[in-house]
Amino acid sequence: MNSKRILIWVSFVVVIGLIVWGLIAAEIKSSRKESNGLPPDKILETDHIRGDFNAPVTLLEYGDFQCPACAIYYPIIERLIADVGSSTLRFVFRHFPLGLHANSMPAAYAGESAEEQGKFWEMYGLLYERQTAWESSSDPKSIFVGYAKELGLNEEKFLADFGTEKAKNRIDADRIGGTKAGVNSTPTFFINGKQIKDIRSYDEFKKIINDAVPKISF
Amino acid sequence: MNLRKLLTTPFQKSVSKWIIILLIVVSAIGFADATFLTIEHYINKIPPCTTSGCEVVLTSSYSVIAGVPVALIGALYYLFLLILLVSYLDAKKEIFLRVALLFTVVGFIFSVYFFSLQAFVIKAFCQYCLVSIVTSAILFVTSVIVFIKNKAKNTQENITDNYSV
Repeated sequence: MNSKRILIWVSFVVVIGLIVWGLIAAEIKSSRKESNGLPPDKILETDHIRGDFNAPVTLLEYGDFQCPACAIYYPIIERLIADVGSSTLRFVFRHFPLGLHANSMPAAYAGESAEEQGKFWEMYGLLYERQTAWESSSDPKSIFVGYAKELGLNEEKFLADFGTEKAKNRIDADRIGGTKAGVNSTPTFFINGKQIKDIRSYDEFKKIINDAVPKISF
Repeated sequence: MNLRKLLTTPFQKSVSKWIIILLIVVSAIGFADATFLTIEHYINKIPPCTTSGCEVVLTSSYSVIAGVPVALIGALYYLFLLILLVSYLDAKKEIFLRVALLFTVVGFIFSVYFFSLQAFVIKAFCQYCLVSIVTSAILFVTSVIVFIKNKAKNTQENITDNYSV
């Protein structure tokens, strides 16, 4: 085979390969975008989950770290998790940063950045507990870095993971899924995929969760 | 002119390079189109469509033959044409070109069949399938032109031969 013939076939294979690869890459990218937005009744292991993955009751919150109501619910949820037990209740948090809160996105980024070092829930707790400390800050990121240090996270890594495309996609995905399911305010709670409304007290919450536990009858 | 003759009668004049390039480009478009639909089929996605028929057509029972998506068959058909055409460019053996040209007839017949299915049975059109119908039609028409031109040349030469005798 002379070099011209080799050239013809090599370019042929390259062109065909590029066509197929380009199409597959484009499709995977676009389908990833579309697969964003999981419905509330579909929980994946990639979600932020506390409790047993196979627990019979799922409490899902669409939350915004800067939303005052979310911060009010935070201790209630913590109490529920402790009381009901992780084998019965799994708690799932999805981001629903509201546009009206200037620091919602940075806070969500702080959560995702901590997630990269396996400490999402620790950051989640700090963000809610100290909401008033950062909600009106003009430089929330530096406050979050402080929290990261407090949690023993690697500061450099925390900063490198802060606000990446990956984090943004994940937060967007959560929000898109919520929007599709009709979420328009925070916090919005779903129990086993069904939205629950107007819970005023811890006891009401606990009752709904207890009712959702499948009863074993003999 | 029978099939054997079509396959064996040499072209009087080598077919213009531009025709080969046209055939390659159109086949490549058809290949990309069919490959796209094949990928969509396997990842269970309906491509964005300006007509409303994509979903109807691509999920119809006609979109799969014995478990194989029609789009995949289409992609392989165009790939086969491309290999033949490039082989012709490479080896300069006319047989490659002849087989390719004859295959465009087969492709066109299938296209007409699928077009009729969309028009009369499914009663919905999918634009990506229409692209393939257009590319296969262009390939078919080009092939017919090549054969007709060649035949005309053959006849002409025969006449001149007769005169010269």
